[in-house]
Order: sequence, then C-alpha cells, then structure tokens
Amino acid sequence: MHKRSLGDLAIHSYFIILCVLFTLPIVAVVSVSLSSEADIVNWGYKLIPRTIDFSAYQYVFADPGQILNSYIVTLFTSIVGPTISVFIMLMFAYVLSRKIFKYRNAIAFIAFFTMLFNGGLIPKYILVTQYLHLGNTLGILLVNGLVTVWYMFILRTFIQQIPEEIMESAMIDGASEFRIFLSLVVPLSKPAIATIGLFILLHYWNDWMTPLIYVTDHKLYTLQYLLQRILLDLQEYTNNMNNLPSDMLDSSKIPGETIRMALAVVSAGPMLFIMPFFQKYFVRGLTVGSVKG
Amino acid sequence: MVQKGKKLRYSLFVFVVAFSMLLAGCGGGNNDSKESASSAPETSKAPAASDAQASPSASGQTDASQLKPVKLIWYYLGTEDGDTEAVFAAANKIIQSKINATVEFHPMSNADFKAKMPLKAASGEKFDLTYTADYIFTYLDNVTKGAFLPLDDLIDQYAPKTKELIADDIWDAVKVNGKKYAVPNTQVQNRQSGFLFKKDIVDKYNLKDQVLAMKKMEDLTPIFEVIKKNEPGMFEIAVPPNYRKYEVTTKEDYVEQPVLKVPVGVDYDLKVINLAEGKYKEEKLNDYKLSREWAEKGFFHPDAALKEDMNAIKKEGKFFVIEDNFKPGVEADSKQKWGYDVYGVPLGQAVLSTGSISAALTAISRTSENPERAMMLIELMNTDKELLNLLTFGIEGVDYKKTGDDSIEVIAEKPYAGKAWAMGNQFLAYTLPGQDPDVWEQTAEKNKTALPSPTIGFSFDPTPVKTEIANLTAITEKYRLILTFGTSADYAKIFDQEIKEYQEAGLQKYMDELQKQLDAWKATK
Repeated sequence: MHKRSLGDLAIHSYFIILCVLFTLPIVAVVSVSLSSEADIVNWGYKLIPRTIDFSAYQYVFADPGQILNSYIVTLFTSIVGPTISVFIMLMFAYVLSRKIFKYRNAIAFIAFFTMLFNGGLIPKYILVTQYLHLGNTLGILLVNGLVTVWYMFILRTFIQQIPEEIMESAMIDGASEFRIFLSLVVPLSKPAIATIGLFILLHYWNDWMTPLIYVTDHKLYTLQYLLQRILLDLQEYTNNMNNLPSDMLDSSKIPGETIRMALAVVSAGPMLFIMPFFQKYFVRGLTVGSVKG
Repeated sequence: MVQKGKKLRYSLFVFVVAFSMLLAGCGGGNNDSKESASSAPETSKAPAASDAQASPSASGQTDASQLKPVKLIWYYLGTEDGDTEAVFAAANKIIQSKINATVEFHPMSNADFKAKMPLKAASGEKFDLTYTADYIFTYLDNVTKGAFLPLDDLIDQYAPKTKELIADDIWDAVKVNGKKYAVPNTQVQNRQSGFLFKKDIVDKYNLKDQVLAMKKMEDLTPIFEVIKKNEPGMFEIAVPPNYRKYEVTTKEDYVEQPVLKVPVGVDYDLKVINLAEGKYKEEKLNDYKLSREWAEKGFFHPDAALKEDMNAIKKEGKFFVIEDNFKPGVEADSKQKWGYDVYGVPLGQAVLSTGSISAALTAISRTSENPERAMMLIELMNTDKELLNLLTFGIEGVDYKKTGDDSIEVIAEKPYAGKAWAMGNQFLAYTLPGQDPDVWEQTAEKNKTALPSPTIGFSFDPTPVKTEIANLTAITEKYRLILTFGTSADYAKIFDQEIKEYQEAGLQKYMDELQKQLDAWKATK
C-alpha cells in the first residue's frame, strides 16, 4: 500500500485546481448562452443561469435552412478536405524520403522556399478569381490550405524513421512504389496521419477567412463564416455608430452577450467532442517528426 | 566532376528564382497593383467603345429600344432577407423597359462589404456600380487609387434630374480636385445631435416641459436628481457633457474638427485653432467640472469609464437619456431601434459636413463596360418612385400593404428589407407607421437650412503628419474616459498634463500642416 503523503496531497490539489480553472470558463460560456439577456445585464455572468432561456439559440438558428446548408458545406469540406490533404502531403513526403530519388533535395529546397515568401493577398485573389476561376465555388473552400509545407516536412521526417530496408525488401518482391506506399508506409504512419490530420481538420473546420474573401453565394457559406459574420458585423456597427445612417442600426440585430456565447458553443462544440477520440494519437504524435531514430 | 555539375545546377536554379522575383517586383505597371503610383485617377480608362452606343437626346432620355441590352453589376450594403429573387426580377422588368439593362444586385453585409470590395477594386474585377462612404470602402481612398470614374460629363448627360435634385454645396462635398467621382444618395445629410429621453419615465414624473425646454447640460442636473431619487435602478445618462458637441448654436461659434481625436479645429475663416487653449480650454474645464458633479451624484453608469459598448444596457431601457443623430422622425426610428418610446430633443445645430454627405454615395467603377448605362440606372434610382420602393420594401401585397397614398405597413414575417439610402433617393420612399407623412419634406428642408461646414470639399492629407496624429490620438484616448466621465476630482491638473503632452507630441506641427493645406485649398476655390 502506497502511503499517502502530504506531498501527494499538494500535487493532487494543485492539479485539481488547475482542472477547475480550465473547465470553469467553458461552463460559464455554456451557462451564459442559456440565460436571458436581461439577466446578464442585471446580474452579470453566473455559472448557473438564473432562468434557462433558449432565445440566444433561437436567434442563432433563426434561419434553419441557411444553418443546415452551412453545416453540410462545412462537414463536406472538413471530411473531404483533410482526407485529400493528408493523402497528398503523405505522398509528397514519401517521395522526398526515398533515398533512391535523385532530385529529392532540390525539390525539398523548392518546397521549403515557398514557406519563406508569399505573393500577398491581391495577387492570390487575382489568380484564384480570374485565372483559375475558383472564386465563389466549392473548389476554393477545399483547395485553400490543402497543402502546408511545414506539415509535409514533419511527415517526411516521420517516414524517414521507417527503416529503408522494409521498402527495399518489398521492391525485391516486385512491389511498385505506389504499392509500397499504400501497403507499407500508410499503415506504419498512422500516428503521424492522425496528428497532422487533426491539425488540418481544425484548419478546415475553423476557416472563415476563405469564404469571407472569395464566396458571395450564400449556398456556399461555411458554418464558421456565418457565425463570424455576425460578430464582424457587430464590430462594424460599434466602430461606426456615429457615422452610420441611423436606421442601419437595427439594435434587435446587435448580438448581446448571450448570443455571442451561443455562437461560441455552436462553433466550438463539435470539435470539443472529437478531440477526446484523437487523444491517444495526439499524445504519441506530439513528438512525431522531432527526433530521428 | 560531380561537384562542379551540382554547383552549376544550384547556381542556375538560384539565378532563375532571383530573376523571377525581380520580374514580379517590376511587374505592377498596369491596373492590378494595389500600390498604384497614379495619384491622378485614370480618366483614359473610360472605355471609348461605349461611345458607339445609342446617342442620347439633349435631355438624356433615351428610347430603350434603341439601346443594346447590357448587364450591370451593382454592389451595395444590404441584407439577403426575404424573397430577394422575386424582388430583383420585378425590378429588372422595370429597368429593362426603361433602359434595356439587366442588373445583378449584390447586397452585402457590412463585414462582407468591407472585406470584399477593396479586393474587387484592387484586382480589377469587372463591375459597374458600387456603394461607397467615408467610413467603409472609403470614397477618398478609392478616388486616389483610381478605382472610380470621374462622373461630371456622365451626370450632365444622363442624370440631369438627379443633378438638379442635389444642391451645389452637396455636390461640392464629393468633388476631388474639382471633379465628381460619385453621386450622393439623397437622404438625411445633415447631422445634429439629439438627446432621447425615455418617454414613460418622463411622463411618470411630469418632467415633459422641463425636458423639452432644456438647452444646456446644466439644465439636466435637477431632472437627473429627481430620477436618481425615485428610480435607483436606472442610469441617468450614457454620454458626458460636451459643450462643443451639444451647445454650439451659432455659425460664429462653430468649429470643425478634421481629425476627431485631435483637439484642433477650423473655423469659418479657415483658420486653424488650438482647442486646448483660451476660451476652448475654459469650455472644456466647465464640461469636466459638470462631469465630476454628475459622477459624484452617480448619474453615469459605473462602468462608463471602462466600457464603451453600452448597447445591451441601452436596449434594456436602463438609461434615462441616450444620444443619437437628431433627424425628423427620430422618435419612430428609435422605437424600432431600441424598442421603447422616446422624446427627442435637438441640441446644438444641424450641420452639413463632408462626412455627413459622404455617408452614402454611389460610384461607377473604372472597370465598368457601360458607364453611360450605369449612370442611367443612377438617374432611375433617384427619380423613379416605383423602382426605389420596390427595392426598399419589396413587393406590394407580399412584403407590405399600402395604408395610404405614400404610407405602408410591413406584413410579411420575413420581409424583404432594402435600404433606400444605400441605393438612391431616400426621399422617394414610402413612410412607415410612426413616421410623419411629410418626414421627407422635413428632412429635405433641414438639409437645406443646415449650416454648411467650412471644410466641405476639403480633404486633409494626413501623410506628412501621420506620426503626430497617431501620437496625439493616443494621448486623447489615454485621458478621454477619465476626464469626460469625471472619475477624478483633479481634472484640472490632469487636463493641464494632457495639454503639456499634446505640445510635446507635435500639436503645433499638425496645426501648421493643416493651415498650410487649408490655405492651398482656399486658393483653389
């Protein structure tokens, strides 16, 4: 029997306090989102709402057709996007890791180079809308952020840890490069795929800048964009209160605290549920690509 | 041997990369670079090809059948509520019959507009008409970058009625270097501060006469004391006393501040004045003294000096007095905006300034392929009552029903909602319940009689004194809430400290630059 010491008590209570400090704000957010606006104005934030009031959620979901549509669009980009993205980056990383590839250093350099310089927003906008004709399509939602060179290098380092001998022996057995990739590399890289995949998933899920800049068709709005727009509009209102013609400000449309909290819950909620499932990969994956051998 | 080959390949590679970077940097010559060097707008870009279209008669009225059918694209502020497809289709029927054009309407929310329009303009995207203002997709910025076409000839030829509709000094406000680059959307163009008092409280304590008779901030103190005593849960007022803003009633006393957060003004002789000395300093000290008194008596919201966003509290009706732009019909507007009845009391005087006029403008993009047709559309939006109301209120019988010749009531649950001031002539719009039937006549009258600011048409170029302005603004912000909401009894000392900091930050330099630009502008008038 392990004797409980005072030291143990101290450590345990420290971590308990830490956990409470982390969860309290989330509880507060959920609680505020379930209160009525008047209560918040009169009594401030409370951990348990005085009266349960769903009006904030009613406001956020006021246009259910639009919200449903956006959920579908976001789900689509968040499932298809990371899948394609991880696949492409993994293939890229695999090629760069193969020692028999003559040009791997040159191409790695080119890839690295793109991390240093950026064309800027305007040239990108011109390229996307006028030359690639991807403006206002589902395509740009998928393509923007498809490959991040940094993640690709991490994957490359990870694959380099897989002993080259395995692949050589597969080649001797007559496997093509692609077969080696699919049957050997992919299964062995599961931790890396999970980690990088999670990062990419977060990126696609949270991305609201892409629709803001490129999308005007409201059937293509993503969920985050819809929610962010409410907040951005509010910012514009409060910044320009004195200048705007007064009937522009329909104060019933100005989100109060409760509505902002409801927005937070709706946008972050799904991710909060997915995270625990990726836990086991995440812990292992944290050191993925950092130490060789 | 292998080493040499490798080295050669690498150096060749680096050379190629460096060369391409050089090309990319030089490239910008034509229209797509945001940092276009041209400060003078490109008048030559106006497509010469469109001259070949129908030649208009002297009055600008053209026969629709003579014109080629074209498509116009229009971006403006608005929402996508309601059945926009039906409304736009109906609008296009009218537009087609009058000028043989189909219009693609693009209402955008504030945030969208702010993010997307600069990109569209900078990338040279083709569109025809756009909303612009002094606070979003800034008019002056875009004129400098050459994004808008000069409109003088087009207005004379294709929009003569609109030209007559708008007074000369309002046209002056949109002139840059003598040319007009946008058409002001006719709406309330003067600004006058007003205090809105909660009607139910005023009536409850029989304060109506006192409230409506108030002229100066001090008049409010006894009223507030009554409220404080009997309504402990309420906050009396959301804004601090400000002589310059609320009590100036004569032209002689009026001073325009080109940069709001810098205490320097311009009077009617176009002379630059330091607002932190002399009689202006006295005024400010009085303001702060009254603020202190009000703060001690608890008339302000306790968080007033910390928090700017009081909207939620205002919506709950916890303030006895709130401030807003006073225009004919403000009571009805306020009822819609805040949800309760108010008495509105106008303060100071109505002023026409470049800012208030540039609050709503329509411009034609230099990438437009049909600027004449675009101008004809502007003429329609400013003169055709049917079209304007269709695009503002929707379809009769579906979104609204008529309650009189010119008054309507909204009947749809999720009605189509357009903003007349974002598209054309607000004065053609029908009136809503709560608005006086002659609210537009009153507003037009007010526009005419408002005091025109001394600096209409003058745009201050801040680049030579950018650092000074930034520093001065920072100082103002540092002390503003402390002084204006009376949080300290030592306000006189703090104010002196602030003045000292202004001097050190380059207040004189800013004033000299401002005077220089004003004198130069005065000479061109």
